[in-house]
Amino acid sequence: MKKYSLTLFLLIIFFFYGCVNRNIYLSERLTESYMRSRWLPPLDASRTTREQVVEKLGNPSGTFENGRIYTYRLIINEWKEGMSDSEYLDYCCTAYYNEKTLDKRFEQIDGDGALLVVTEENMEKYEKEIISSMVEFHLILTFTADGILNRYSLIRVRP
Amino acid sequence: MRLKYLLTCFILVLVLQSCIMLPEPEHGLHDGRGMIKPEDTKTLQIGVTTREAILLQFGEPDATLNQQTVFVYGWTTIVGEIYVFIFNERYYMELRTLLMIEFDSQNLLKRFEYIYTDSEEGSTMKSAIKWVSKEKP
Repeated sequence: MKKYSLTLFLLIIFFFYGCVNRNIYLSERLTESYMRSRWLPPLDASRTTREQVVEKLGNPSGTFENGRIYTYRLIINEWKEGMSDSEYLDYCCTAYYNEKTLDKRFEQIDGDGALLVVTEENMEKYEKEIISSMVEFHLILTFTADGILNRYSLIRVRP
Repeated sequence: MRLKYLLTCFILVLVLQSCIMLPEPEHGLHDGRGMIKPEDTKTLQIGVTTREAILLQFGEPDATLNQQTVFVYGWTTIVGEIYVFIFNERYYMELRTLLMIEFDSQNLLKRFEYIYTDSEEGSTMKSAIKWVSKEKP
């Protein structure tokens, strides 16, 4: 009976070993509030103008309803000098990391990082950086007929 | 008897190794934007919800059709993952989901539907275009 229990116990460990997760998901650290406080200019509905937004963030990724709605696809580009192929292979398509790797990437963000607005024009140039970026947010801004910010939202779309 | 029992266990372990599906929360999103769950669309009302509200809630669409009257949101999820122990290989079973949203001339929601396709880009766009041409029953 004892041996049977032991075998069963070992089998359970064997099967469930892969289910134990010691990794950290990016969404735990890259929150909307982090994005707002660290990377976005202050936005004030009924005060901020369209021109001020464009001055801070550049041209939008998309426009809707004859320019009444602006959309910004935002990533944090960690590689000031561009990303090497080996870095790309290391980082691409990864949604979670161990704490050490994540700390390294956050250090890099603080040192070299910059907010990048993804547009049709730069998508090809920053293809590797976009795929490997740790996070992507969409900033949606709607303006009044006078070009004053009316409503806005920040949505994390990836991961 | 004991040897037989151990041998059976060993064979079972080997065989069942390739049958285990590993659940991996965010990694399950294999490609594209974050998924929009059906419960997120519960507040959408035909003839009431505006294009602006959709954009504020879901973000920029992955594609638009017919002069922005149709929004396409797409993502690929892993619905199963098989790890074949003997070959040390992982195989993913993918599902491409599109949330199709159409607006009327007043920028109000006309219809929306989830459609499923395979993950190749050509098939995705074909499915989206087919949906657009499909009339509401």
